[in-house]
Amino acid sequence: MGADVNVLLRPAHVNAMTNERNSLRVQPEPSTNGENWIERLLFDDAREHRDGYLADDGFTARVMGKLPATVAPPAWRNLALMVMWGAVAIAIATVLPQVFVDASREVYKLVAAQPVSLSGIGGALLAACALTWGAAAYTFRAAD
Amino acid sequence: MAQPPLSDAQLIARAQVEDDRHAFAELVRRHQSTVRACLRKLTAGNHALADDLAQETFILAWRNLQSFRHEARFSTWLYRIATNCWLADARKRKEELLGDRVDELADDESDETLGSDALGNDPARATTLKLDLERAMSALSEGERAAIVQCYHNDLTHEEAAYVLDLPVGTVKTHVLRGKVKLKAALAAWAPT
Repeated sequence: MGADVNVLLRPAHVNAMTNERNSLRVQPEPSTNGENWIERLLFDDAREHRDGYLADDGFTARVMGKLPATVAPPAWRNLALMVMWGAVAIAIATVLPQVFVDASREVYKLVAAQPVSLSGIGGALLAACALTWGAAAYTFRAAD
Repeated sequence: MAQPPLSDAQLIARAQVEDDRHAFAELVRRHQSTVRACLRKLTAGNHALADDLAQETFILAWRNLQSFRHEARFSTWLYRIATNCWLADARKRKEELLGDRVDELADDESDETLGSDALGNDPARATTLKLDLERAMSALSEGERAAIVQCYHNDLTHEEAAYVLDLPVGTVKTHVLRGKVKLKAALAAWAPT
């Protein structure tokens, strides 16, 4: 009777966990012969231990109250990140001017060799916007 | 239509990826009973200490949640943290003599239903046996006590207990065997005639 009441008082998820554990149990119940009495004692004590349920009684709330607080990044951090990335790009362009000029020339040749159209210009602008937005979104997301 | 409850894996994913504290709170609610009960066994029934260690366990679990890779069940991972907390605490302090808790244990009827079959034919005898068993358990070495608690009270396999205790499987089996031999000797008065 006590065990039945215990099951009724336990939250449903606890009963589900207990049933799953019982179905997976590999240790058979020990027999009650004389030599096995310590095994039987431990087994019965353990079963009583497992069937019992300790009510929360505010335990979860106390744990959550003691978790370290989330540290919000300062507001200037996002701007600082974008300025930093911009500075890195300018530094690279400055340090390697010849490489930058050569690459730009090749890109221009590639682009100039193609017939220029309004749709082409629009597509290029869209691609540039998408890249810029993606970089900004990644920067802000990483900052969170 | 009510949504089915989220599984542990889903809650863990939310807590890991989205830093979702509500998901972690649900995990705590689900597992607090088993973790606290495990620690009560390890601390030989010291409820206050067990609850303190249980709080420490969940705080450590939160801090290290990103390192949980589902190599074991979440409950098994929690037992590992709990056992380490208990071991660290046991090494820092002297263990209180169980005798100081005789009256407290005899009056404590709040959280466990005393069986009347294998533990005795009446509640008084069951209480005495329970007390003797706790005293005998507290006399075991840390490794033996931890191994018996994991294999019997937490119902883990030897392999799972080896993961929790961070010991080879063979060592776990040895601890269980030696622990039972010591318990048998300490509780010889309760042996069936």
